Amino acid sequence: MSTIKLKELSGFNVRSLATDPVPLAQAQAASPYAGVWSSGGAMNTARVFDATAQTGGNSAGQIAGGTYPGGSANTEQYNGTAWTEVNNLNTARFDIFGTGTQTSAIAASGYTTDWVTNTETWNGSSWTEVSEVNTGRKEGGSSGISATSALIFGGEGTPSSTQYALTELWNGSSWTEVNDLNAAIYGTSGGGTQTDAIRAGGVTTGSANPSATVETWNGTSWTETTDINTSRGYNAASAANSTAALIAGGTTNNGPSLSALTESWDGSSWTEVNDLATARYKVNGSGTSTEALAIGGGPNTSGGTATEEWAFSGIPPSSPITDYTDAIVGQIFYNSTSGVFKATKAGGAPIGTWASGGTPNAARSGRGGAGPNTATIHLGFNPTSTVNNETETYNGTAWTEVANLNTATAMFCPAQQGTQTAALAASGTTGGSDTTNTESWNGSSWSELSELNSSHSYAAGAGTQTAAITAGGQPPTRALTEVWDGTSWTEVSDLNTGRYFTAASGFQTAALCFSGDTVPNAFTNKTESWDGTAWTEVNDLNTTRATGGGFGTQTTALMCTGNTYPPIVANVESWNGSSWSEINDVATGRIRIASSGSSGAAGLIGGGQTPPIVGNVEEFTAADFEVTTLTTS
Amino acid sequence: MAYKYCTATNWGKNFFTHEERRQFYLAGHPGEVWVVGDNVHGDQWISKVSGALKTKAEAQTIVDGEIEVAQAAYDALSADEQELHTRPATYNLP
Repeated sequence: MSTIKLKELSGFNVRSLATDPVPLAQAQAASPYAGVWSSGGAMNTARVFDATAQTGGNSAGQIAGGTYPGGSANTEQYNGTAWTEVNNLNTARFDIFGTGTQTSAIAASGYTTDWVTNTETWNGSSWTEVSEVNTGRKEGGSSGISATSALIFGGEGTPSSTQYALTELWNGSSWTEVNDLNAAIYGTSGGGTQTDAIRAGGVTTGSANPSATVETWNGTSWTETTDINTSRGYNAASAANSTAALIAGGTTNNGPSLSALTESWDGSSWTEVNDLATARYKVNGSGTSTEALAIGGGPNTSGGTATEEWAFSGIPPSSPITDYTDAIVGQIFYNSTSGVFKATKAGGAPIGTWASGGTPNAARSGRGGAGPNTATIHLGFNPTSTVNNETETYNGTAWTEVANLNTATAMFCPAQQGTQTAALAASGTTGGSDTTNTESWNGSSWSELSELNSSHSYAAGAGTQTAAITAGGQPPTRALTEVWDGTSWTEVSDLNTGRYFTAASGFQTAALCFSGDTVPNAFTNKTESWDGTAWTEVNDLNTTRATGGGFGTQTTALMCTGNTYPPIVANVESWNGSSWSEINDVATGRIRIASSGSSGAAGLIGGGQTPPIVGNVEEFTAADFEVTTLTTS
Repeated sequence: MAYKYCTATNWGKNFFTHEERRQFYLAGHPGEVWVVGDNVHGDQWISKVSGALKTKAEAQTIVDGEIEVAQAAYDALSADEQELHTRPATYNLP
């Protein structure tokens, strides 16, 4: 049998692959990049708040003291697999301040049968008594990188239940009092360095209320910053500096009510991430926001021996498509496993499909929406003359009812690029009349902000919580446009074609407005593009319609379903920056939907009327590229 | 294209998947009526969702009934409220 050498025949090589390339988006969905806690080796001695060496990631921990009651002098080191006992502290105690590494650490203050001021430093093999702290206390936070550079803050001291805001700095030979925390607190945790640290959570005296407060240290003073999402005390903290931290566990009331909740800090906001496997309090943290240990602590004051390791796995969001998939659009390859030739075709919205999503708690129409597929928020309700202030959030699987809008309104979200923790709602109808209200969502509640200059009910919007745009509205038809700077609305250049029941996508300085009703029952297919200064007419939609929904950006957007006066259509069109093309339909055509999505390749629609009001959600996703088998036909 | 008709209640996530949308035609209509592409994948989906098969005429009657209810609701609105809505219209299933 003769063989054909393709290179000789065609002049180029055809790659031979054992498996088809996988689109990055698909691979990321199958293996999302996320931090998760896994079980580590158990300590030899059960402990509560101890002197913990805070650096060393999730494979080089150290812990000293901490047994309750009475305290312990035991010291153990972790190698990523098991804990090994090393030389003891000179003074047994618990609830100790500590930081450093396996070869250079410090343990300060704490409690035996009374508060102690002892300080000991670790040189890699033994502890040595050094200068004492100025104020003996326990259950505070600490930061620092070695036996010669540390900071301790907060805590509880004598007389019993006195809480401190005191901060002391260790220079390798003595402790010096520096600027206090903004408020006294104990049961708190921290991390970072002596000049760049963070403190989160804790409890305040009296009722021992858990706290959500967070403060950062710049080497001179403490500054209050964004609170954690769940108030707690006696939690673990892991941080390399003030802009990247992880907190885990703790107690959420004075019960204690044990928590497994974990939150990640990126320097500006806290995000809930995967929980600890075992809820506990008085748990110790070490490492960083990406590689951490949760050590000891337990359901009661006796603590425990369990260790959990925090690490990231999956495909990082920053993975270059070409590096990961090794796929080149337009290239033909040979799949040596299936024995067929295949081609890599372009992907994106044109190959995207709609799948059913989780069902909201109630069927609703006329809602606003914001956020990506796995972190969406929908709000408001207006089927006819009834309005509702309900808000629901979606995690990609299920909807949860959260705090209501202050004003029962069918409101839209000009911040369509907003998030589940930072959304904006504006204008709309209260049933009997239109409103100029603006409300801002912080992840847990809505608060009223400056009102619009004009009503933009039945309009659409784009942008983020702090930089948004809305155009059109009413009837009668309006062309008015307003932009939001996070504080107030300003009127800017009008649309060329006034409209309501319109759709929009993009950001405050780069938006798209499409479809709508120009006068009652005169629908339009006109599309206008906003450059931050003026609207310019661009290519029209293929299907004239109104009351549909849109999402995406100025250069990649989707127009979904809507009314063509009548009938209702299931058509979806994709905008590529210059023109609209028909792509796969939604399963159920409808009007007055909520729509949200950060790009024209991923988003969702929910609710609406078919004409009965429905709750159905459909999710749109589009792979980066498509692999097809070559045929001879 | 040939179709089958059924009624089925959309339970949400995974009622229909991206893969299924690639495999057969699927369109939802008022009254939980689903028009399904007549192929093996469509049949498997009807089974998966415990769909109650209907003739085209039966399915059309269900849809018409839902729209007539919506038309009556529209007709009961005030003139101002009607301006914010469009009177639902009956249509023929494919």
